[in-house]
Amino acid sequence: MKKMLIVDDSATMRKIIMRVLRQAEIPVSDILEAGNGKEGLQRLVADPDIAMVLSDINMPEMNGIDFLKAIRTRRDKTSLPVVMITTEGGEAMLQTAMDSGANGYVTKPFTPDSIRSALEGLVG
Amino acid sequence: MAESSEKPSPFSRDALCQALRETLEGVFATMLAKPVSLSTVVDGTPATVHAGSIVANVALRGDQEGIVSLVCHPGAARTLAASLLMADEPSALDEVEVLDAIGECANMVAGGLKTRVLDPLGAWALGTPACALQRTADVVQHGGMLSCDLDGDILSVGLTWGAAKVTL
Repeated sequence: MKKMLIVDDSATMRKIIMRVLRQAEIPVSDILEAGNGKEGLQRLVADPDIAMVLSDINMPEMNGIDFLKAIRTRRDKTSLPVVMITTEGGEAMLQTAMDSGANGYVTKPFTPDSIRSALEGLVG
Repeated sequence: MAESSEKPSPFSRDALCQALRETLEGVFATMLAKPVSLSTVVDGTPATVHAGSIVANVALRGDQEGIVSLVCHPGAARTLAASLLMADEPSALDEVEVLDAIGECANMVAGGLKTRVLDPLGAWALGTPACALQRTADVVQHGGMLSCDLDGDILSVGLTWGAAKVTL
């Protein structure tokens, strides 16, 4: 069971993701929330037990790609699993995310199956 | 072809309509578990935005600029928000929750349009949703929109491109 951080500027989408995680029976012990990349980084620094991150890309203050790059510059977070969940379904953004160190990529709208598939092997 | 008073739209009216239809159907089927029946308002027919409606705009920026607008009648906005949030009672949702839900819905529609039509044409950026409650008297928007009936209330999607509303 892992502690997970969900980063999305929409409270609605954070609730939907939490619901889908339950529907997909993803084993998560605790879920924390942040409204943008900057808040997400603050959460990660404050709580070293966060073992996985699900992040949107288009967000104010700090977008998901900059958030991901900032995570990967931290020596203690280079292997932290980060999965992007975004409306950006194009190949170019997918490639940018993966090149920036993402471990998975889910396009909105999503199903429990697509979430389960993206998180397979990353949670346990 | 899509209409614009400045540059011509970079895609065809048919491609745009098809992409919007597919996107809306995908969002409704996946996130709401709800089939949606879409109708296209006749070209040039004025669409009324009622007081109390929720209007969510998402910008698309590339060689040109566009705005995807989701316009929900009050009942449709609450029905859609309640479905997204799996709330038993739509009236129990507060205004902030409804605005956020409609904004996220508009975000998914704009993202789907970008993926299906714009990304193959070059580099485009998707803005963050801007949502507002239509508090004043009814406003008439000129141009066609894709509309659907959501449990008796109307939800419409329109696109503004350059200086002109694209006629769907």
